[in-house]
Amino acid sequence: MEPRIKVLYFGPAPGITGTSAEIVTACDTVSLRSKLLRKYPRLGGLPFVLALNCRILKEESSLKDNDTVAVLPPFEGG
Amino acid sequence: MTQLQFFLRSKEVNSFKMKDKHLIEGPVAPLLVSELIAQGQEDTGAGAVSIFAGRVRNDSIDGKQVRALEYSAYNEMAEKEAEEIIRTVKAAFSDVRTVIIVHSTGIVKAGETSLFIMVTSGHRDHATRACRHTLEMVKEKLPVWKKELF
Repeated sequence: MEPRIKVLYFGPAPGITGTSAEIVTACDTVSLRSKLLRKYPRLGGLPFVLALNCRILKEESSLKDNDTVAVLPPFEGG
Repeated sequence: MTQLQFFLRSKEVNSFKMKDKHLIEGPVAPLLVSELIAQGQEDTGAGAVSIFAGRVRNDSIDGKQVRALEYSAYNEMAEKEAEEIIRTVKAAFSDVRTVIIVHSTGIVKAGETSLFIMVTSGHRDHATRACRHTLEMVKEKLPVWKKELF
């Protein structure tokens, strides 16, 4: 069974997904990313990076149960 | 966290290791700014204090004037990133003694302060340079977003 991942959406992303958090099953970030893009095609038009457990992903990673992956559009602080 | 909670917490501790130390609900109020400056006076070896305050601008977008910005953040990550920025700045500027970063979440009206950075050091050179460096890192690394309200 694939791990259950908590996916969080920030900035303009919830406007596309209609939710700010959900559970998605995926065994790695490659598969998670393609699942999200299939489910929400408009996410493809939004530049974003993924963070795994609060760390921005520099390379693809395997996932385990209870990992948190955040969809982070470009930051706009200040 | 509310202004009052933040104010009380900032009085409780001198180190900035606590969680929820860098994000505040609503604007960074002048009272909080003055309190943070006053706290720094206890460090009598800090001869230089450099401060940056970022305010919400009343830009015009498509003929509509911005009345306020609504900030949202990935709180857990933002707190960690702010601590990481502080560690990096202190490592890069040996004369720096304290670095304070406070960023708003929620609604901040035009003219109000949404970002406050304060750096103290023994002498002016590292305070001014480290303050600018902290600001650039906050813009690049803090997971915060804004939405214009008209």
